[in-house]
Amino acid sequence: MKVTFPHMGNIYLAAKALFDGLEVEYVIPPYNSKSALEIGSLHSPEEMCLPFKLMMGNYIQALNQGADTIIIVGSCGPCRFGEYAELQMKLLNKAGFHADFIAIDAPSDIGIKELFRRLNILTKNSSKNKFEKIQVLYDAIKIMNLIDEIEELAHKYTGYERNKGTCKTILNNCKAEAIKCNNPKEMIQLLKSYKAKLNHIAIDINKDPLKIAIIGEIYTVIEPFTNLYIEEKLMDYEVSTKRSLSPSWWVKNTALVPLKINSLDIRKASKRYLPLYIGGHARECIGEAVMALEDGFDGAIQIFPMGCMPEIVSKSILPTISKDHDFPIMSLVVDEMTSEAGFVTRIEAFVDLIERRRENELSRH
Amino acid sequence: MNYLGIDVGSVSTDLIIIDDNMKVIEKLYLKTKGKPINAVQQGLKILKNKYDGIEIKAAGTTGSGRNIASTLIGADAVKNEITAHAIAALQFDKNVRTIIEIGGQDSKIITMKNGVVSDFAMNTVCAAGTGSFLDRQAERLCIPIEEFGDYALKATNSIRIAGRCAVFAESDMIHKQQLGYNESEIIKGLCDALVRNYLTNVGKGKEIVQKVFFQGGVAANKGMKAAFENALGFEIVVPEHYNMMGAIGAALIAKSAVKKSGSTKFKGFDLANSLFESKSFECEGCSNKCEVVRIIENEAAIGCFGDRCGKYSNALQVSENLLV
Amino acid sequence: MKIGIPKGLLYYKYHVFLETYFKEIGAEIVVSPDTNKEILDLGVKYCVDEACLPIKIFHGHVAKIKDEVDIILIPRVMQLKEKEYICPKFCGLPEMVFNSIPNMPKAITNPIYANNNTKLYKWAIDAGKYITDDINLIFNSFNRALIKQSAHKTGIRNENFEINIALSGHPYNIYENFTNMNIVEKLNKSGVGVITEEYLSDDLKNINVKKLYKKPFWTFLRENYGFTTYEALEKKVDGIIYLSSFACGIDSVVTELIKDEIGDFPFLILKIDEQTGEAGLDTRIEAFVDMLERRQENESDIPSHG
Repeated sequence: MKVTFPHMGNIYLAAKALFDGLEVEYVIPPYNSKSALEIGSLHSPEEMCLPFKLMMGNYIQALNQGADTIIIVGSCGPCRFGEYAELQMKLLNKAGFHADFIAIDAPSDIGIKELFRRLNILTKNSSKNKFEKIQVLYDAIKIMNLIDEIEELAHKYTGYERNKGTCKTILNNCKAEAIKCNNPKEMIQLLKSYKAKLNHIAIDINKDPLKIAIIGEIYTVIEPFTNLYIEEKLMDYEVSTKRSLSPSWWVKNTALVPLKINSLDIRKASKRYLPLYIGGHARECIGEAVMALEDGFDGAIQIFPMGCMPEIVSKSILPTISKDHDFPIMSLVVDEMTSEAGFVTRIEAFVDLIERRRENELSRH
Repeated sequence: MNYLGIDVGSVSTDLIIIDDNMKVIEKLYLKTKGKPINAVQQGLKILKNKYDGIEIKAAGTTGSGRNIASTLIGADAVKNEITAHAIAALQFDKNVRTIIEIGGQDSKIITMKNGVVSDFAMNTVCAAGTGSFLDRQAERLCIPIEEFGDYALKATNSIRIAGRCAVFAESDMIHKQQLGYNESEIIKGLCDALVRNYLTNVGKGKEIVQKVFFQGGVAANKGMKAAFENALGFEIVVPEHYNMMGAIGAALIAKSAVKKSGSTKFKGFDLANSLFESKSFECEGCSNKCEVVRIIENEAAIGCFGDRCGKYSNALQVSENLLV
Repeated sequence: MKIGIPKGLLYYKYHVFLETYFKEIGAEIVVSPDTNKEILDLGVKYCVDEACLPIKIFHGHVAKIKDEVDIILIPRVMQLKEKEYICPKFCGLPEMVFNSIPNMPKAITNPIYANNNTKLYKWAIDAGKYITDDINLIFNSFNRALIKQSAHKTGIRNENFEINIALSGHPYNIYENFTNMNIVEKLNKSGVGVITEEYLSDDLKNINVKKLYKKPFWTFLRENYGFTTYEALEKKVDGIIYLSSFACGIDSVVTELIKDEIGDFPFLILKIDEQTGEAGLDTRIEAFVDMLERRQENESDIPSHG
């Protein structure tokens, strides 16, 4: 068995550590790129959403490199993501690829027994004992949390750094080296050292950088290829960004859902504008917009793939929030046709807009 | 004192020279034809012949080709076209609150409050309603684009044409022609459809407050202006240099950038004689496979774009620093 | 009190229940007119651009009657069946409407869980409170409305046609004659009989649904997939026409799953949006019907005792 999995931001690092630790053979698909998207689009229904197409590209590229088993997490509605596994299995089959799927669905939907049966397919090929397996899983989660923290710090500190580009360089080096690690322990050490490095960069606390919250559909805000590397671009403009949705947020949130104590802050913040969960992360999007303005951010950028059902609802609510609080919010829709020129123009103009607003306010006081 | 602004768009490349009093000394409108480097150079050549010896205090670029243009000429400011359009409009009339801008391949709306941009939007999906689309329809109807607007004004009735998508609009127009409507009515119907489409797509949820400036190449079309006024219920203004506003904005932004920095980076009109080349390649350094474009002036690399990791563009900057 | 009921989305399926209930508890009912050009234009004007046509049309209906009524019903349909959903846009429909249409009247937006009568009754109480305090009246009206709704048969089953097709899709596409351009009438006129999913029992629908890897969590997926695949694989009809709104997220999955299951069985997907031209629709239907006729002729050439 040779396992592979779809990309989503830095999740490949945790996955690599997990499989290294279990000593299960695996293939990390090539990073998302135009060719992954082309291959994926070719084998996907036209009106399917962007994440689906990219994942198809990931699978096919990985299968071509010898993978035979695909692992994917699932959900049970009401957004399309829950049906990905079903349709992807059938489409791959039709295209002549042979792959086994391991869909990790919530136990409330498939039962705890079934969940363990599915997980067992993965772990039975590992020579590790039960205790070691749990340890490895624990390490993988730790790695996921660490890289998310590192990214968060880099995005935040970038507005305060004394030497332009420090944060971006550290973040890029960190990822480049992490992928070369041979086992989970080594990767944890490396990530910890990078985290420390970020915490010790030369900072100008007198700077008051522009601050933008990145909100919207979870895959397109996390996976940089789909949003044309917006966070990296904003780092170049020395704008501090914050994005609440991350793989570690997702795991924590999913774990807390059965207890109904997940994301209490988001529930509270979104109450006035969207009092119910409607699927996907529409409520998170609304809550984060409200929290961003309460936390003194200068603006928020919503990103979602064309046709995304939950985010269409949030997009219709955001202008009201923007108007009510005089808080700039821009919505960006991405799909395979998104042209980089138009996209960058919008981002630059948005940064200009909030910058000049600020100057204007300062000059009037 | 003179200032140079260059707007490199997908369809046209505009060059402008203004003086301290906002007087336009020269404006050039050239077709980009997919070759921004050639267009900029051609423009500089014309300027050199006419104005050799005049001093350019600052130079700025805007438009989708702003980065390439900036590398070529040594710009003091590189700005996106939204900010550039807004700044130019406000310079001419500080009471402007809304800009409707329709260019070759995109259309935008910009709203302003207290003299700064407060909101903006660009067309999302398709090119229906932009200049290229109108050009194409004029060609199909065998009417010069310059007269297109006059035809629309002649019509007494309007017919309804589906205008959300270029392909649908075109097939609907053909259908209406087959039904026997005359050209004037069809053109007026088309203008109405494009305006309706603009207002429900680009302008959705945006408050269109007077005074409104109508800018961009399409503003020359009287039919479009009339259709907008009809839909909005008030008069809109087409500024004198409606098709040069981006370039003017770029020049103005450059002017204030130089005020801060002290001196211009503009390399002078002699650039017209340099030999420029652009070479693109796919970097194999990692699986990102960035498409990198390198600009070469007289056999020396002067700029690099598209490399996400900065491998090529940073290297260039370092060597530049060494030279200084 | 005047209550407005927009004639959009699931109105076509549940109007008997809604109208009976609100009438019985003493409200004066204002139902928006059948969809027309004006309503479509209003919908396109107000609704967020990325939404599908049925959602836009619903906005249009709301905008059309909002000024004539004291209160308006915006059904927030969360669930029709246990562990199943409709579409995220249904759950967020009141928010979409309120943030897109200015000067809205008061509205009934309580979530509707119609998976069982107890939960639905809870909605009836919440919604009824805007009109009356009489809990007995609410209870009795609710029951009467339920009885009337269950006696009201929706669905289409034409008989005595040479060629028959299964017409599938979300109910508001099938019964919205303005956007589907009277498709049933068109088909009947060209000699084609129509059957819709209401005429197939849940048990028969579930035959193929059970074979799926994942239990469907969308009601429309289960119904349309179960219906079309059964009709196709059991050769109950000659072809399938699926009416789908342009950019519908659910249909992008449903139609693909159907295609995968039925192989080369005649299957036509008709996309509807505000641009749909009648000429284009006619051409597609005509060509599809031609194809079905020719197939039938060919088949009848082959000896029946094969």
